[in-house]
Amino acid sequence: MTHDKPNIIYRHFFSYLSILSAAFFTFLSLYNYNNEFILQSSLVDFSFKFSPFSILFVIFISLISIFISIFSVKYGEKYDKRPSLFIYAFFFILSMVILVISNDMLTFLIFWELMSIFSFLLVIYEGNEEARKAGFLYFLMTHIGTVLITASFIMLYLKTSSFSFDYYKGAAGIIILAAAITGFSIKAGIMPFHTWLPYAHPVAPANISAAMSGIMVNMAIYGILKFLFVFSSGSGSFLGIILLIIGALSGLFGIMYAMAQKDIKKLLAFSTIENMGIIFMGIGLSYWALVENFKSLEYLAMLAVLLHIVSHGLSKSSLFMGSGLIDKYTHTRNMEKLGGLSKKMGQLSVLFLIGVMSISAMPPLSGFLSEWYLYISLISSVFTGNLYMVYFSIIAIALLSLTGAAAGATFTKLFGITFLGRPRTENAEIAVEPHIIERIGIALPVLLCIFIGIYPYKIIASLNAVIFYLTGGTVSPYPLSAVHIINARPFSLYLPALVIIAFAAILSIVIFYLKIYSSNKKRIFETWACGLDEKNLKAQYSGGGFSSSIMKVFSSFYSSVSEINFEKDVKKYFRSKSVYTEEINDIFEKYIYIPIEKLYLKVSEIFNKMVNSENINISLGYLFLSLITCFILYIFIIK
Amino acid sequence: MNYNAEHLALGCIQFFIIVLLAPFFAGFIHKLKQRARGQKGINILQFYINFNKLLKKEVVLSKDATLISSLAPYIVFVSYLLILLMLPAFYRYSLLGVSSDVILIAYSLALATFFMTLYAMDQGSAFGGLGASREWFLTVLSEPSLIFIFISLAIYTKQGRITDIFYFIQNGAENAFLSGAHSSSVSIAIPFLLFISLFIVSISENARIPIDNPETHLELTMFHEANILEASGKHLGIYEYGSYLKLTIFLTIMSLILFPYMAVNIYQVPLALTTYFIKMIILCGLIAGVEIVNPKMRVFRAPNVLSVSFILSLIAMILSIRGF
Repeated sequence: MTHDKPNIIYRHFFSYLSILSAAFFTFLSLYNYNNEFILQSSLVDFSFKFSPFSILFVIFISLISIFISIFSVKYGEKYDKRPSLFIYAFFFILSMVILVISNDMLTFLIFWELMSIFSFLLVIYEGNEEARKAGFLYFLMTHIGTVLITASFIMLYLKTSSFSFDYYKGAAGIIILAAAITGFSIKAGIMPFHTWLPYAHPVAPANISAAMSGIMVNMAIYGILKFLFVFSSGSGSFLGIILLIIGALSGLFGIMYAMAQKDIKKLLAFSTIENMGIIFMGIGLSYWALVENFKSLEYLAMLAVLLHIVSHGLSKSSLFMGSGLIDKYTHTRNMEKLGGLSKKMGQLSVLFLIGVMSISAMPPLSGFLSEWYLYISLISSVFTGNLYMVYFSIIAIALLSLTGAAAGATFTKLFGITFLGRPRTENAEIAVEPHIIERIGIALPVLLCIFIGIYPYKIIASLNAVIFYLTGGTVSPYPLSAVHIINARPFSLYLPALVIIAFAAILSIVIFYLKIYSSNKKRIFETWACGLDEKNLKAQYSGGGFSSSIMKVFSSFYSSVSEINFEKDVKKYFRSKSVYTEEINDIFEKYIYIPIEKLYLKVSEIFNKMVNSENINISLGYLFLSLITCFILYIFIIK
Repeated sequence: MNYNAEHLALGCIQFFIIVLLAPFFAGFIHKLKQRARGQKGINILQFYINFNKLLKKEVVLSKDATLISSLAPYIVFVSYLLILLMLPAFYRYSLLGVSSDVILIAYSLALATFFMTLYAMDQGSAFGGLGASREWFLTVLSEPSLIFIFISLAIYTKQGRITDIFYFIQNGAENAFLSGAHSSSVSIAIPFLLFISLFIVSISENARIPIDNPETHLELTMFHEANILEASGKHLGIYEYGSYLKLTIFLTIMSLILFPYMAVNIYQVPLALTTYFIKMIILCGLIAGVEIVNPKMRVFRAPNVLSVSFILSLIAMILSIRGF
């Protein structure tokens, strides 16, 4: 007993420390509105600035990390044996908070790197083969991203000869923007660069997955917004269109792969890719409008982006925490082994349902609000009459509507297979209601989702400060008509409060009416199964079966291998055992990453044979050659 | 829009009339089909009688049912009622017309589908899972068309609210008719294309032949019915009523796309109501006709039909952006 005690202290100490420091940074940022200060050290000066944009992110990170820390106070008990988790998690969150308030390139890069390293340490925390593989891929990809970001910062430095962000305003041209966006989209998990995300997010402990999917990917969005709307010289409208289309494709691919998963956390990780895609669509639209000078469209799309960041962060972190609890209490993340959890975990299932509804954009929750704004901005972009934009926004509308419907199917599958029906295996039967602190940790973001969805006027009013900082305009928060398109006329109107009041009113009338005018007798009986007495609980509809018909229609998205193995039995239709395996491979991985990997190995092998000789003279020769190359570079390029 | 007492009163009356008429339209289609097949056919008010009967019966809940089973029927039903609150049928100012955004309507339909499929999966019945899977299969294919239809209308009329959209079409048509000149703001092709597209979507969304058969309870062919197989008593009653409402919603939108006539004041209401009723009867006949002449198709042929609908709405959208 005494042996365990210090470990418990680690968990409690660092969870409370995270909460306290998150609260501290929130108040610090609110108190120092628009202030800046510099920490001087002998080596580098760290400069910080509390712009409205940074404050939004500080509050966003702090809020979600407070929820996650509350959750970890209890959830983390299974990691007490190796308390390094809590230390890393604390520094991970701290580095993100400092990242968004940093005001010079060195501070930004240092904390960006710290964030990457701590998240890498958290990914490999479990230490098994899967985690190490995922960790390596993550480390590699994230550093390719960092290289690109650093390169774009160096180009900015060469252009302005300053480290401070204050001098970068309007300095970034197309090349700098392209490099930075590519670098950041690796971190955001946008489609061609997403391969690390579905490996790295699920293997980390659930509270870390929640922080990575809910917060960390948004740091990339922070960087992109900073580059596109603060540093950009305002050229290259095609960049906006590229972002729009890449985002739309990423959304569709993300949700199509999410649908194919049976691991709950992997499904959620793919859904993160989808949501990042939706955010990218908004960014692309907004940037295009900035360059082409369609002011009201720019503000509107920016509002969609910011709202989606907030609503995705809240609902995704709550869902990841929920999946962690499922894992903790049933010892499996495979939804085909679960089922019937809502009888055992009643309150968790309600919270999870609301999170699922918010992320699949069901009205009236916050996910719908942001998607509604995105739809309205896409329609408005058609009204601009710009030929390219009309063309691409129609494609984007088509892809977005398909994504929305597929998200509904995916999350029906997630909730239906996991929480409804009957327990498929022993794992699901042993589940019990999670501890109250864990439920509170999930309930808080879920409640915020409901609040933002029903009463968004306050948050839109606050987001307006950020929209003003980034774009120089605001969107009227009330009424939500706010949608002044090109001819400055209200285009459409969505009044969440009115709609929800109407919904509640009719619901109560219907229930009241039926209570009076109908029979209230109830009988509990077996589920009808054609009169058969089905004992096999696995004979329920499976998750794979649920999505197979949709996957069959969209089969060109996947490269799947399925196989049925059965013992060579005499009885043809009454086999004692048959095994069905299905493997869904990522087509990007199969057709891009694996060939590149093979090519790289081949080239390096050839190089290895050429260069690495046992003869010392040749090695010395190479040394001499590289020295000369450096001299030439110095003389011709830098001089 | 500023609402006064007249607007609210007429909006209420409109809402109640459509809600009360919904089982009649469904019954009328059923009757037509049966007569065409040479059967005697049900009482045209049979669905009212069924609803009343179902309310009197007890609810049998599965022992594996959770909160979802008792909640979902109401949410599905109320989602459709909410859409009917927004939808103008024969009076321009529907009760919730101020917030009748087209995207909201499309997503409210998705909300109903979401809860109905969760209900289906709640009791652990294999039929439920099958029904939920098929329902989403169709929804994934038809939802893009539906949103495209709505957005084409929004782009064509430059309005985002469904009440404004149809008022705009109505005004344009009236002006073109009265002045005799071909008004540039009116297009015949766009509503026509959207009508055909929406017709296909309605058939798929409302579980009609050739995609699905609303009368069947054969395990292999059920779509919609498999979802509500476990429902009984008043739950089944409001599910059935909900499906009549959904049919009415789609038929009403179709009637408004092709021939919008909405009253703007109390004096026009009787004429508008009569026109609405006649239009709906014709559309019911159309649906019944399609159901009679077509056999049910294989599940995996549904994507072909729905992609035709998508292409038609895409053409309509391309036509509607010509003006900018």
